[in-house]
Amino acid sequence: MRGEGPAKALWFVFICWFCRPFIGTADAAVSVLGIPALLVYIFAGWAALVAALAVVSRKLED
Amino acid sequence: MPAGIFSGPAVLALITAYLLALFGIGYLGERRFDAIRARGLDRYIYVFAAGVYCTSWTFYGCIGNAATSGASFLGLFIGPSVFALGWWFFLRKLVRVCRANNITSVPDFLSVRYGGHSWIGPVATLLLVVGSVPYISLQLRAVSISFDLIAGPAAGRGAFVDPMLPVSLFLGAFALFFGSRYLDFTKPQGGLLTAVAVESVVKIVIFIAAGLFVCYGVFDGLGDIYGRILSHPEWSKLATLKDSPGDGYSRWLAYIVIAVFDVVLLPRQFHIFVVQNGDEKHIKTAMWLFPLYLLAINLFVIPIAFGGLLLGLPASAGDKYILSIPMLAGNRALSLVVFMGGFSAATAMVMVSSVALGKMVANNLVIPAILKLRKGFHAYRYLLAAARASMLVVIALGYLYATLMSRNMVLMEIGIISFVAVAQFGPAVFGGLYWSRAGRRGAMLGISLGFAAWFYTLVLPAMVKAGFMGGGILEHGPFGIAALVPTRLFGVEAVDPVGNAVFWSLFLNVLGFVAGSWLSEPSSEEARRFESINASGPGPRPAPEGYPAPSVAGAHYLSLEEIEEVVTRYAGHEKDKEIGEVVREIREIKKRGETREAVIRQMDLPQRVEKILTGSIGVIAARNVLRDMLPLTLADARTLVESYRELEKDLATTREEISHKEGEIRAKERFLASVVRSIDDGVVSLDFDGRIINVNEGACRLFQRAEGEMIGQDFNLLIRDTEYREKRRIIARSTYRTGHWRGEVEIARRDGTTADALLSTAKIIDERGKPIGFVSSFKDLTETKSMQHKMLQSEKLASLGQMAAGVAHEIRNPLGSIKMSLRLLRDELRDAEEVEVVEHIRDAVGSMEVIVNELLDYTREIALQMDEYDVSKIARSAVFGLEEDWRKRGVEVTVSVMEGACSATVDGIRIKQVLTNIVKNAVEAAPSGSGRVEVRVSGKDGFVHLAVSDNGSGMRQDELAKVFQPFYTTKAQGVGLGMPIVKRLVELHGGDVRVESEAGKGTVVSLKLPRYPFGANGGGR
Repeated sequence: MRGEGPAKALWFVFICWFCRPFIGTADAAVSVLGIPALLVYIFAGWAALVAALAVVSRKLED
Repeated sequence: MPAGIFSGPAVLALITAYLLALFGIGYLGERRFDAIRARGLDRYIYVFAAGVYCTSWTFYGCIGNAATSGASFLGLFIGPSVFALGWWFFLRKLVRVCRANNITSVPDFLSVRYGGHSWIGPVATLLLVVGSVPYISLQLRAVSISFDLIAGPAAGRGAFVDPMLPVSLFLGAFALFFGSRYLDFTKPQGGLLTAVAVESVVKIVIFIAAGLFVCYGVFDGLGDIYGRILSHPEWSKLATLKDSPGDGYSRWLAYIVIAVFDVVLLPRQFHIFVVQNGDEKHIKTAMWLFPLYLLAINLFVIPIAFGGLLLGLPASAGDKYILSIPMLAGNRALSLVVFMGGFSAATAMVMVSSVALGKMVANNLVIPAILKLRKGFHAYRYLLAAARASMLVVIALGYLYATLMSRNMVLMEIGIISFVAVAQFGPAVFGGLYWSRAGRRGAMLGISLGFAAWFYTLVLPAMVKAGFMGGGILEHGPFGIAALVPTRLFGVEAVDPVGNAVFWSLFLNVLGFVAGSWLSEPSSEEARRFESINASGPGPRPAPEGYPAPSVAGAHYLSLEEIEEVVTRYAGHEKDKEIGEVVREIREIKKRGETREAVIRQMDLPQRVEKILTGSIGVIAARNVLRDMLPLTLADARTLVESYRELEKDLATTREEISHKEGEIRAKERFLASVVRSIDDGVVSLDFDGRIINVNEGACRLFQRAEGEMIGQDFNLLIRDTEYREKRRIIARSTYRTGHWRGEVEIARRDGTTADALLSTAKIIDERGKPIGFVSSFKDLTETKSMQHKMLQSEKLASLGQMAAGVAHEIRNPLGSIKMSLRLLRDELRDAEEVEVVEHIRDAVGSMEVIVNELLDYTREIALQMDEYDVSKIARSAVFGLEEDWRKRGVEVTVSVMEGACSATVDGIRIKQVLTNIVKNAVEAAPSGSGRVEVRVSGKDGFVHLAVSDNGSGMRQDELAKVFQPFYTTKAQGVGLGMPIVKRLVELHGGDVRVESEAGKGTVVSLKLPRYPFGANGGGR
């Protein structure tokens, strides 16, 4: 199925992104550009995920 | 905290106005859904309707959760977003399976996948209702709380004690109008979808507006809020997972896990994402737009929560921050708008959930019960009423739960109870989709263990908190067993209570599911169901043909009228189109005279009807209805139809093989016929009585008869042998005994002529060894006989030649002696007359010697002495040797050497002999005094060409034809061996000689000699 490979790879990448130990790198009460590092980390990853989904969903075929 | 900025009646009026507007939108959506679809907008309606995932729990509850536990709640939205990457694979598969089987709920899916027993659906329905009613109550309670906040405490509102009741009633009416117009839930519910999609847009817009107001109207932006929070020693912990109250990370993971299942399996989500999916391509849009929606609606949850804390509002009242802050800031308009946003989120959820749960309850509990109590009546109206009543009951249960149970619980807790409950169906549903070994026992064991753990670890603590039980169990465990404390099961202290509940419930669930499935061999029916589920393909909604059989209904020959009647009885006229198509199709087949195909299709009808009914009355009721109509047990009926199909398949295969073999045999027959046809000899097949049954073209040519003239005639027709009768007897006896006969016969042609032929006959034997006829081959011997005659003549001539050569050899020596003696005699004679006489004798002897030499040359073996010669020089030498002769005759002889190399490997003496012979003939043929003879020599293309032409009288064509024949001559003297010798010598050189002549125009003799006749080294005989 076309697009299956990239979807699986991205799935693995984002699962890692939102789990330890990766999320632990931002899990501290410090700010980045005035925003808590954890929130920057989560929302940046989330935005990237939405962008990736938009691209992948266009490429998926039977 | 401020309260009561609007009067109760005013708020209620606004609510009423909103609900009426919503009703109008739903009405328009219902009527214009086809136009919406035509514009391609239905995909956005589909996705925004799925936004019902974000309820008042998101609107209010998540803020409360963020205020107490930080960012971990985001896992509930991150989980679906990450797993959206796989929706094209597993959500699409689920959609295909449900569409193919007219499945309208998770219990329906479980019944279809694990089937066989009717209790799996009802049990799943009960569990889902138990798990979901708290969630509905949560929405009603959110309306109540926000109403209390904006309209003041209940005590000050006079008659308007609690808005939950009127709101519940209105939502019930809405659900009845838009959600249960048809008994068949697989039909598009355009009104419901449109209304819910609009509500999703309303709530996100209002939520973002409220967030912007809090950040930039109340505070100086996000930096201000976050900066102050991070500088606070306690609140700063909320900005992390590791330091947030409880175990933030385990909660975060638990939320991700349950949300992955719930985003599809929550009754409202299943209804929108799966049942109401009009086109599987919409899933692609949902894959990115739905996560974007979740991202957008969560952007301001944490800033609002932190803002509330910074404003000094109690963390325990975090559920109300989004409404409290605008009220506190004196923004009445925004407060009212925010209230409406929360109200919108709550109503959307209640509407969809009550429709989905109501239909689930109706299909799995109420309708089967009704049909069990009363059979064979026109049940459609009652069933539709039962479905509508079930929806109202669901809303009523939610209302009762909200009023009785959850007053002491925060919204988040109620929501989590429902979320974790619904997630317990995840392993059975997704395992059932992909794992062939997944079985009914495993599914039930997993679900039971999961729900037991859910109740123990999550519901029990909630009941304690609500005051229904003493708190001792949470502190010391049941019977004082610390390892069994529900929130710290088996002594796991570090895990958050929600993480604890999610872990244990899903762990035991998966364990039970896997173990139960492994330990019990899947039945053949379960295996078949898995296969049929995996065979589900894409395509528009129910085209029964080609989809897998969904249920246990098997084969029974029901009449078309029975089928139409039963569908109308239970599905009203909703299914007229579908059943009409099926009936028409079968009637068409019958009209075409394909009776057997029609019977097979009709035997399949119960399955197709069951599928059609499933959408209306559910899997269980559809099965029961058809079971009552079938005289066989369902299992027997299925076995029967499957056996029949197998038999059909086998027969089809056999027919195919026979047809294939037949084709091969025909091809071989054609090949053999073609071989026989192409044989030049005459081939005739005879039956055992000697009658001709087949002839080939060769036979037609040989006997000069048409095929039709010979077929059926006696073999006697073809043979006219003088001893035919005797020969036929010999032929027949020999062929019969030895299998063949071969010999010469005289055949008779149509024109009465006869010819010699070689006849070969053979016996034809069938596969049992029995002779069934003969095949005869006639070979025409006319040419062979002619050749034999010629060869005989040649042999005679050769003998004569040999004899002549012997005679010539014997004569040549005496002739030499005579010639010598005559010379001596002439020298002795003095008389002139006597000398003249001797000279004449001597000339005659010379002529005899020439004849003898020619005879010897012609007959004896010649060994060529090959060497490199310049052929032009040989030609000149030959002409020079005859000079005296041609000068005496007054003939001019010239030699011309043309372009090209003239050297060749030849026997110089023999070639000179050849040229002398030809030139001499030419000189003799040329007229005396004016004769001209020209010898031309040229080299070209590896050959030396010689041409001797004269201007003599030439030859006639009959003379020309005989020019190379031995002993043929037109001259008075000579034996006619000159030109045959020329031809023989030239051919011994590998060359060629040609004579062109025309009477009165002279003659040209052309020689063509290869320069290297036998390879580079030469050689010869």
